[in-house]
Amino acid sequence: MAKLFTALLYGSVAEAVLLAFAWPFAVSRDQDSAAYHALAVGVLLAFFASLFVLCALRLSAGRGDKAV
Amino acid sequence: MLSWFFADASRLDAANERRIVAWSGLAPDIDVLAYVGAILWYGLDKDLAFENVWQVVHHRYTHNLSFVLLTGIVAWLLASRYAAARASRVALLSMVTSALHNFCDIVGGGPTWPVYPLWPLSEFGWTAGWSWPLSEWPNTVILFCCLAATMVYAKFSGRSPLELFGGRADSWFAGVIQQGSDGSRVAVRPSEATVRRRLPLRLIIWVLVVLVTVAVLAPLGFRPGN
Repeated sequence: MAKLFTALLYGSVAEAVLLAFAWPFAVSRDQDSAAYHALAVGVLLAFFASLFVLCALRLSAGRGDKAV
Repeated sequence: MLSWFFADASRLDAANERRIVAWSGLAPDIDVLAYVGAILWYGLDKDLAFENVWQVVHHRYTHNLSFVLLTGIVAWLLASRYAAARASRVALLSMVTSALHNFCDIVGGGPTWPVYPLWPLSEFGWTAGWSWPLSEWPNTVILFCCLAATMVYAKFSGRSPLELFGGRADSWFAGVIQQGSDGSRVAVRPSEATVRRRLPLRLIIWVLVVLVTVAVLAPLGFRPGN
């Protein structure tokens, strides 16, 4: 399950980067584009959902150190 | 905070690496320095500083791909001091959080603050007409979720986004969350030499904390209720 949500996290991040930097140059500069709106909100939701699951999995696994 | 959670979810096991990635997510807002300088330049007249500097500078020079690349280089240099083998991964994740900052500003920064994706190659500013302003409820929900997650993380893992401000701040916070206000006393105090060695870094961190606070309050005219 971790692999699935890791893929979703990085997929949403890649899509977010495209939406922020490439969309206005490669697709459309329409600031009220419904497609952009739907994609951006969808990407944000996917990002938060996958981040939430991965953090929960990591908490339950108890990994990470506190070394400075 | 989101950058720190992203760093942790990306299985960065060392606190220093999580810290680099998390600060990289905040880095684009370093342009607040220009606003602070402008307020001083205009004799504390924040309206003049806002109109002549903040409105022009904010998002233009630090919210673009060039700055994302610069963030990656700085992150790589910092990370290679701790673990050269993982420096590339830390740098890549740092670039990702810096880029995510831009995306989040487009979605939840309001339609009046465009980012400049290809500056200095292009002066084109990009924003979304439907973008919700900072004070809207989605941002408030995200903030409170992050605060709740910070406490849950501190409770169950003994670490939290407070790592950004140093290991001791994080240990203190985790101690308070886990054992009440007396819990922080359990933490082992570092030696005098260690404290002296860390002083410059600590000063830099606290200056950054002040700058981030100003970055949040400045656009609101230092009146959070507005």
